[in-house]
Amino acid sequence: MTKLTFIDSDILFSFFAINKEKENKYFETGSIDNEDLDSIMKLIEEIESNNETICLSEISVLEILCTINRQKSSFKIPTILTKIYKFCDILPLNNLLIKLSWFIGSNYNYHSGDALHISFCLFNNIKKMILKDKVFYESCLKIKDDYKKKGFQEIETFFQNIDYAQGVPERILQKFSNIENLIIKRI
Amino acid sequence: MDLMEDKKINLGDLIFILFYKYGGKIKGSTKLQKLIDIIRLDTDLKVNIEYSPYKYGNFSQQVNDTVQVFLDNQWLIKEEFMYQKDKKINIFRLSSKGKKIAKVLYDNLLTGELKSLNILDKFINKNQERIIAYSYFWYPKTAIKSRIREEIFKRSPILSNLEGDLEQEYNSIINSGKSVKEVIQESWKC
Repeated sequence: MTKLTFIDSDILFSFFAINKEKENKYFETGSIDNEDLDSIMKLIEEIESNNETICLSEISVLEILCTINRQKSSFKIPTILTKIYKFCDILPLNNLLIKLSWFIGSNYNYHSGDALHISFCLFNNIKKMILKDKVFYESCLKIKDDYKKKGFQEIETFFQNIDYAQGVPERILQKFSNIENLIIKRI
Repeated sequence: MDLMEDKKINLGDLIFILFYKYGGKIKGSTKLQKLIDIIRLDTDLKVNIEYSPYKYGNFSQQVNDTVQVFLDNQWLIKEEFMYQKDKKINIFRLSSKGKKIAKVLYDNLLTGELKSLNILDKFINKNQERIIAYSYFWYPKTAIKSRIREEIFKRSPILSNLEGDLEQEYNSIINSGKSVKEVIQESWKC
């Protein structure tokens, strides 16, 4: 079975700072003389050697595109987008995934984009989540810890207080429980 | 009458019309499946048909069943073509009997229906893979169970795609004292 790995958008963006010269230097000397890009190279090696597939949401792609645009390089977008599709699976969001992100964003320390990312990972049975951002990483661990201690108690209480929700769909609970086995790694 | 009202079209009629539009020949069962799905998803023509994601993307058994009826009635002729050592593709052609029916149906299309079908013009000289790529790119939900996604998107190792395209932008962010993550979060504010 394919091992699906999610990488945060800042990591994906940094992938594109790697060029052939840096790659050669890394393989010859073990370092690019840039700690951040060394960790990126190490990650790429790990993903490739474990035959993992990078799996991202269309929101991750949007984050990359908006960031490139803000750097005044929108002319590069078609090239970058094509390359992303060549080494990543890009999957859509769905209604329940967004509702799960509402719970996560309402109860944990998440930026809205990151709440969608963790929810995306849970919904798509992602095995490993690779992050660099400390706040994002710690918030994911907190969900994991809370689930271990309280199970579905918090998510059920959250939706119970919303008039129209009338309970939580079984599918959300089932996907939310993926947090237990999700490997969350910080580089 | 509401101009945006859905126009209903019978699946059998649509198949005849598609063949007529494509010069009487469609190469690939998947291509036929995708063309009908694109009409369903991209136009206001309402086709009474159920699609669900399968190993080559969205699939409808109704399309295959209807094609079988066409073959049984000799409105269509099927040929198998080996395009690689172990790969074959079905080529469907309208028979002379089928062509007559298709022409009548095509000639009787309303202006609005013809306009809706024009979205398929961009696929006339495209092979099956390009149409599948269109479908997977614009409608990723249709590809969730696909076994050919890697082939369609021409998957290649990560490093083979990295040519420092954003090196300058990356350096500019780092030199500004911010992290890439911070700049990404700022992008949500635009």
